[in-house]
Amino acid sequence: MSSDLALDVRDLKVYYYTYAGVVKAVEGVSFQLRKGETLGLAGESGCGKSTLGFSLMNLVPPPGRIAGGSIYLDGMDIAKMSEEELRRKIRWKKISMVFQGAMNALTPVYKIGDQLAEPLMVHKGLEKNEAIEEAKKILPKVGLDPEIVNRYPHELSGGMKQRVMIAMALVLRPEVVIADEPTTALDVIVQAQILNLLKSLKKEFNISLILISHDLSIMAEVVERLAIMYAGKMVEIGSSDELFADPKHPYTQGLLKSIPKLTEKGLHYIPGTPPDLRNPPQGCRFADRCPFVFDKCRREEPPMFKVGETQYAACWLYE
Amino acid sequence: MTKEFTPQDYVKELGEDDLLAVRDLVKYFPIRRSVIDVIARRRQKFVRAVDHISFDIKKGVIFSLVGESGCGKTTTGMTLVRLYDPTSGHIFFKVDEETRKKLDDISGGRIKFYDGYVDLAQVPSKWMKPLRTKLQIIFQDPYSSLNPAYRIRDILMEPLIIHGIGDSPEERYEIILKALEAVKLVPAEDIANRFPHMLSGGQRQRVNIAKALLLNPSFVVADEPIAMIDVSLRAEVLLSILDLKEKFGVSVLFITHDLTIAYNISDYIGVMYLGKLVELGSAEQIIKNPLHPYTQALVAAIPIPDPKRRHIIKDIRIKGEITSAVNVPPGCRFHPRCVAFDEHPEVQARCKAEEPRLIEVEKGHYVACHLY
Ligand SMILES: Nc1ncnc2c1ncn2[C@@H]1O[C@H](COP(=O)(O)OP(=O)(O)OP(=O)(O)O)[C@@H](O)[C@H]1O
Ligand SMILES: Nc1ncnc2c1ncn2[C@@H]1O[C@H](COP(=O)(O)OP(=O)(O)OP(=O)(O)O)[C@@H](O)[C@H]1O
Ligand code: SF4
Ligand code: SF4
Ligand SMILES: [Mg+2]
Ligand SMILES: [Mg+2]
Repeated sequence: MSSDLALDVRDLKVYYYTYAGVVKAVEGVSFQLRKGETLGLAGESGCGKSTLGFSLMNLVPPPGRIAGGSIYLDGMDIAKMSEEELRRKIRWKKISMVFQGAMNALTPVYKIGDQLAEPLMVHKGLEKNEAIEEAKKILPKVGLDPEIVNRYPHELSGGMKQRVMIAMALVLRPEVVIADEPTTALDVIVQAQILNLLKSLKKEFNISLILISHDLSIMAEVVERLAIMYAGKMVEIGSSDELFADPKHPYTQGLLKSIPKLTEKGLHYIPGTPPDLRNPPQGCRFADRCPFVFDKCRREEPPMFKVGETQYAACWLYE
Repeated sequence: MTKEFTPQDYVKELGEDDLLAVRDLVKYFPIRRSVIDVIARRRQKFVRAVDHISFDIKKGVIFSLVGESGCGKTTTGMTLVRLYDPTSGHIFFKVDEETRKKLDDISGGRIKFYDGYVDLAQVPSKWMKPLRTKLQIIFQDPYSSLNPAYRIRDILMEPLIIHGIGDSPEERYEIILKALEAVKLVPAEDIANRFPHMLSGGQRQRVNIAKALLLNPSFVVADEPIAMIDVSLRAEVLLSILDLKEKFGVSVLFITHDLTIAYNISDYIGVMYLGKLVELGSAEQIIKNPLHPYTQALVAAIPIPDPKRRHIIKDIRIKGEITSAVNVPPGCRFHPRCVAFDEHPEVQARCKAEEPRLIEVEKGHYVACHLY
């Protein structure tokens, strides 16, 4: 693995083993995250974005688990590590995550300071007051007054809670941070402030950032490279500049067209719904909704083809 | 608007195409008092969710209400369709002859009419029934709003039976199929026989629109109807809402916190802040020429799908955090967060003491700020 890579993900498979069948939430996904880069993961609800995020920390909630593939970080394969090793070497220290909706899951009975101190006590072996002092140092970096260590979660606004979650993800100075829908459910103004914050933190801490969002406008404002997922598969990846200017995969084209704009009025959508991940169709998973579908699409699954300078798309149109 | 206005005075000012006129509408919620508050005889406190707002909605238009969480959008919508009783104020609503007769019948002629308008704020709940069909609301969550145990046809049958619409089951079924087709849920027979879980979120929300449409309403409130719908499917719901206006002449109060969507779907936009309307105008005026410092911050925060802007750290001109609707600041309630306030010492005294009223700055464009 070359030294400018933060993560190298190969043929990753993550399944949920439910009574109703195996949900193939991530099916053969490969990508690389460069050091210091911001990569976006987009796609509609249920396409596997959060699952992919969890798996990068090898923290997929049961009944899910990594069913195959590798996640290389500094030459180690996260997908094959033991729990103990993951806890000691990887989670929060190398890779951390701002979980989707977690700002509403802050433990209500503990003060903010205690919650921020915990990872420092567990992972760095600090005493409680040392840990709280350390926590106070990180709060101004996310635009919060250090004095809020004495407050309870219900005394904070949504935007402030999200800043606390971001501070928590940064407190052990990881190299990779995954932010899962960090601005969903926040008001536009707070959303813009959080995005500003992520941009400036990325520079200051020199982290590699994976931003997960269903909102492509937000992606355009933040990420350097964008990956589009559909029904558990990565269908297109490329630099934002290239991908927004000239999307190649029919699904990406549809998604970009669905973004409402201020420059021209118009409402567009992609007819149909994504397939059931317990029983995905043979061939291309987008075939039922694709305006360009032809015979081969329904028979064989398309591999990634190089379609631009930095751009790859999984579609038979580019064979 | 001064307090001495009578309903007749208000109605006299309305135009031929006005469907709904809200005047000085107020909705306060009492805050539950603790035992100690009661013993100490502390004054009852209120959440001033909607605090003296006035605006008109014309026939066959979409009016969007935007603003941050808790500013009173849902409360306004719920009050307009009388799912909440207003604390004070007027909601003049134009009714057709048929509804007027029904209202006369049910009330024994005791409901007052002003030039074809009825003041919804004064109709007692027990006499609201004839108006219920005319006023509909669509909620945010398409999942919990449809009973999972019933087929779509049965869900849609219920309101028809309640309001005695259609003479036979066959006729009612015909009405249902027409409504499903109107929101492009086809083949309608197939959809009618499905259960809610057999539909996508977007399709379910269109069932809700069909349900509202069944009763032939003239006013529909759509409260964040696409917030829980997938991006790729949102437009299919929005297009059905546009059809409400374009094909059926219905007026829609569209509640959203997404200004890009408000711009794309609406004719008019009203911006709310802490229970007040702070700016009002055409969609074009509000988005392209925002005047109120709060609207300016909202518009500056809109994410733009253009990767060339990636390196920009946005300048969002607003201070502090959302203030609560219980302890509303005196004067202009936005002043603790207003950047323009800091930059204009000459208006500060007024901003702190006097509540700004909505004034017309250009044709049809109103703003409540002492700078204008
Ligand atoms: N605990 C679980 N058990 C079973 N299936 C699950 C579980 N968690 C997720 N799934 C399924 O895995 C698929 C991917 O889910 P995931 O949460 O990763 O999607 P997502 O892209 O993050 O969606 P969203 O945009 O709604 O957050 C979905 O089909 C989902 O139903
Ligand atoms: N039934 C109620 N009882 C007491 N207070 C209420 C009630 N409903 C709303 N409120 C309060 O009234 C204010 C306005 O709430 P409302 O739900 O109208 O805001 P909103 O603009 O719709 O917000 P959001 O964007 O979060 O939906 C808030 O302070 C809220 O807490
Ligand atoms: S492979 Fe075929 S069905 Fe799939 S996206 Fe390409 S053209 Fe459409
Ligand atoms: S009235 Fe004063 S405080 Fe209020 S928005 Fe205008 S300038 Fe700002
Ligand atoms: Mg998710
Ligand atoms: Mg609301």
